[in-house]
Amino acid sequence: MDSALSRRDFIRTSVAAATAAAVGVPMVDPSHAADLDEGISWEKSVCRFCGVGCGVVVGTRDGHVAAVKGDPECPVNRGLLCVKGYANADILYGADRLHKPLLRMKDGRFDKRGDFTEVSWERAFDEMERQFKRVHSELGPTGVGIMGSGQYTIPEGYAAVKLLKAGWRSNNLDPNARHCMASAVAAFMQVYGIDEPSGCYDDIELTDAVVTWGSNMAEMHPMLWARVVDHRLRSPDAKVFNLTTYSNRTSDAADLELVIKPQSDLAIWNYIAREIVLRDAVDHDFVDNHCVFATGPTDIGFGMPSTDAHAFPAELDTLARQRVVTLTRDEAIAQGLDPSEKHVIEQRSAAAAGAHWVISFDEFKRGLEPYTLDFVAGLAKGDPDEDIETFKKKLRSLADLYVDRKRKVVSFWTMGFNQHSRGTWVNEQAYMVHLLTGKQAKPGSGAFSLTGQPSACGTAREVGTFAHRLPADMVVANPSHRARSEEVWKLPAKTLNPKVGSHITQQMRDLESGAMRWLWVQVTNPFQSTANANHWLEAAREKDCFIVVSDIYPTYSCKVADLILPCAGHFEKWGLYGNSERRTQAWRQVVDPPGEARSDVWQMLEFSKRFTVAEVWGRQPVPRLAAEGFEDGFLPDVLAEARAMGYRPDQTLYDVLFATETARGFAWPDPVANGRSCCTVAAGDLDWFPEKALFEEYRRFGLDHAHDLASFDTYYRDDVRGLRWPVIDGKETRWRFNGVYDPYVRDGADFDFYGPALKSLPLGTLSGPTGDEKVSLEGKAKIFLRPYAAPAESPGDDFDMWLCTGRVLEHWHSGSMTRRVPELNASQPRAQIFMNPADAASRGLARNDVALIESRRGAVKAVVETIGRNRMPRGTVYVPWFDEGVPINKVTLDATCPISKQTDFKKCAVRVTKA
Amino acid sequence: MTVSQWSVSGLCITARPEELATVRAVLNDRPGVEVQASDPARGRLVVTQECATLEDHRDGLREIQALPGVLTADLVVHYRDPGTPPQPEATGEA
Repeated sequence: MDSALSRRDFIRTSVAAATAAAVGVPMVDPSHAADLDEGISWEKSVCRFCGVGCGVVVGTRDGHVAAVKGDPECPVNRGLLCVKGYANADILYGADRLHKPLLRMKDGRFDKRGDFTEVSWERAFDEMERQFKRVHSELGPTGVGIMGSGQYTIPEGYAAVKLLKAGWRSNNLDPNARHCMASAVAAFMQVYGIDEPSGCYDDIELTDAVVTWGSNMAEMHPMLWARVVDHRLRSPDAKVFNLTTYSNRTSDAADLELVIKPQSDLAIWNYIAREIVLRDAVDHDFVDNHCVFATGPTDIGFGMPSTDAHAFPAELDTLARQRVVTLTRDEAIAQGLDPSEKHVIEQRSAAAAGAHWVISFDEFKRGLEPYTLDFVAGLAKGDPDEDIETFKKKLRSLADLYVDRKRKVVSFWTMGFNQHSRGTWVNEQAYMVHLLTGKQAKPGSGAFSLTGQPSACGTAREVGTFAHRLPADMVVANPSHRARSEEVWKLPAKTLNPKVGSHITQQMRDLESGAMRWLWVQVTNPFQSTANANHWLEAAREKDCFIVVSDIYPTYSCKVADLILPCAGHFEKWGLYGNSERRTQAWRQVVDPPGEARSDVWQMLEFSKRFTVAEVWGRQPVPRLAAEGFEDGFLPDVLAEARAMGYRPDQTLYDVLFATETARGFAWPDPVANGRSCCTVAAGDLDWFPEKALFEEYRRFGLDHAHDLASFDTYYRDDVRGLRWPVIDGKETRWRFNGVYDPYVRDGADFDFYGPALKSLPLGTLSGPTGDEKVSLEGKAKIFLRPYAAPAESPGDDFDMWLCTGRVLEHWHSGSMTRRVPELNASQPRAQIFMNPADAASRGLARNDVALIESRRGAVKAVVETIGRNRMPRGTVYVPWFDEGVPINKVTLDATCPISKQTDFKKCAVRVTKA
Repeated sequence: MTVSQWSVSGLCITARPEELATVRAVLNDRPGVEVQASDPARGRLVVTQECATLEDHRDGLREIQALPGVLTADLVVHYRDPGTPPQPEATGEA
């Protein structure tokens, strides 16, 4: 007993010392801080979870990850970690880790109705190959696809792009990041002509005001939020405002909370812009020298299917809005139309939703005229129990913040903006206000999109694991971009497919329609995370398709797969991630994967050995392909040119794409390993280092293209905690487009928005372009005018409440890792439905009752919560999606932003009753 | 399932500087909770919380987060003795 007590004293003191050290609070006797670490060897690494990109140090003992701590040397989190961060070790050790491939079998053969049976890797790949070749011979390259991830390491994402686009000549590669930040990407391209933020996290400590828009930072980006709160407490004049559709933990430390109606953000930005113009707070020098005004079509639909062929009967009325919309009164006013008339608008621009043209400042001002305080307050007030005058006062305070010339402002947003049926627009509007006031690309000022995944930026975006992209912001539809990629990849001309592939939600629709019948899911859980899931779950099981899921645990998606491949976890492989502030960070493998689990890189390299060049580089059908220099509907046979380049038809994709002479030059063992092993090398019995070879080849795309990364070895140096690209002469870039900081800015320019994309536009008015002649916008950023538009679906008689979905602090995404950590699972064991107590009472529900949540598309049950972290206004409910026992995406709507194709998970109409 | 095991968590708590003394006193009155260090200028407290079960940790942290004056309360370190992995508590059903 005595020894147990003294051990408890010792542990308590040690925990206190470790906590104090981590958060930088001085302790009288810090000598115990290291006591719990006895026998542990430490190595710098990166957190597995969100897009903040916290540095961790990972401790191993006896071949096991024994502990994870915040890295005090990492400038992102300065030693702090959130509750999930500490679980980085435990997520590897859930009892049901996958150790062997599992194939659905019956009587010793693959059978879609069979039971999962352990098989060898060879047997697994045999079936995968057989099914691939069957589908490929019937449908060509568009019949196959890969769903990837913003959790891919950079080498993994790059291997997937190369295998699918260069090898199989398909563009059906799209990441779950499509659900996460595609709207942010689309807006970066539209506004700046180049992806990713101008600013960085340093802005937090330099700013005078932080405004969070649709971003519950306190729970979703806790370590950045800790920096915001820390700065706020030290700076009495600084302000923090939170705009949200319900009261949340971010509101707790905010100076002002605005509870707004879903979708009304579009109107609020225009109100702020109108105030800026009215009060002449425009930074005219900045705008005249560096910006132009632009707008685009409004009849763009909601990214829903254009056919009813697969619709449930109850979905038909919502689906009809894809084709024709009757404007609401608010929409009519917002677009300067007579609200007493009926406006029935055919959605003619759905296929070209991103088109835009230059307008004058006077036209821009005319577009803002309807957005008066009275109009916007009436439209936007989100809490029916709040007094309208109080809300107006809040809106005025918000405008004051942006209007104040002396005040530096940072606007942060996450899924509230990006998961939005006008997500690209609302991102553009944030830049509208920041550019108008010259509060962009400057220390302490900027509109800043926060990402949700650890490498949504570094891999999904920068590597380009999207259906339309190639590395370094290039796109498949651009002939010179394809030519450049073919040159780096040493491919015959016209190997690459110019037709944009299916985005992730479209891939699900393709499974349902039969257009795609072979799918490989990597590092993601799409059957839990894709909206309107009842369709896709049924398609996976009932259609003639073959679904492979690579994962570390048996996820919800594994349950509908035909083949499950066991993967190496985070610390069991080598990797690099890129976070929200363009910081590329790297880690070494520190422990071996269990059983026969293998890295994703090994899986792709090994599977590529099963395809000869002759099988995939002949003439291939691609339905609806129409591009200059290509036969309609076909990719050309490039085998003759391949022969001329020295390739043999019997060489495999492994030979020509991965184990090239250059790649094999990156020898293993490598001094950068510091004695650590590499599971890809071990499983393949290789004498070269695939992860390094892939990274070094990928890096060539970005050099001299404003995406310069440092060498592989640089990121592994002990004195480096990631670097923010572009990295020029070993120096990172903190503020892009700003002449003081960014080496890509033209000599002598103070600002230069040098992104090359979409910089030649016709002139026009609010009604449309006025001619075909285009003007060059070199070096300029665009200030977009975008009107308020009603959502795809709103509450009505049958389905009378808004449903918002999202995350909770303790769980990450679909919960496949965090639900296997005892502390996290105990702390948040199940998804609840958060609702206003009055809404609950009026439905005969009390706290802890079970409610039925139904939409036109599906239903789930969840336990009612009326107090706690999320306080809902009447009329809105919130259900997180981490819990596969409460698969809320059976209920959600798969409407997307028509420009970005990102799903709006934040609003659909539901009915809540007692179960 | 209830997971039962004694463990200690280290929490970082931020409070408005003017309310720090009150928050500190309220925390020290909570069973198993001790304020171990503070940085008054930044409104920060380092606190340990000892509990018999993970559920107690969860509930304790939630209650602390809800205390008047507390802006943030984050788990920084959670320590279970490596010798005894968490076990499901007997439910009486056997």
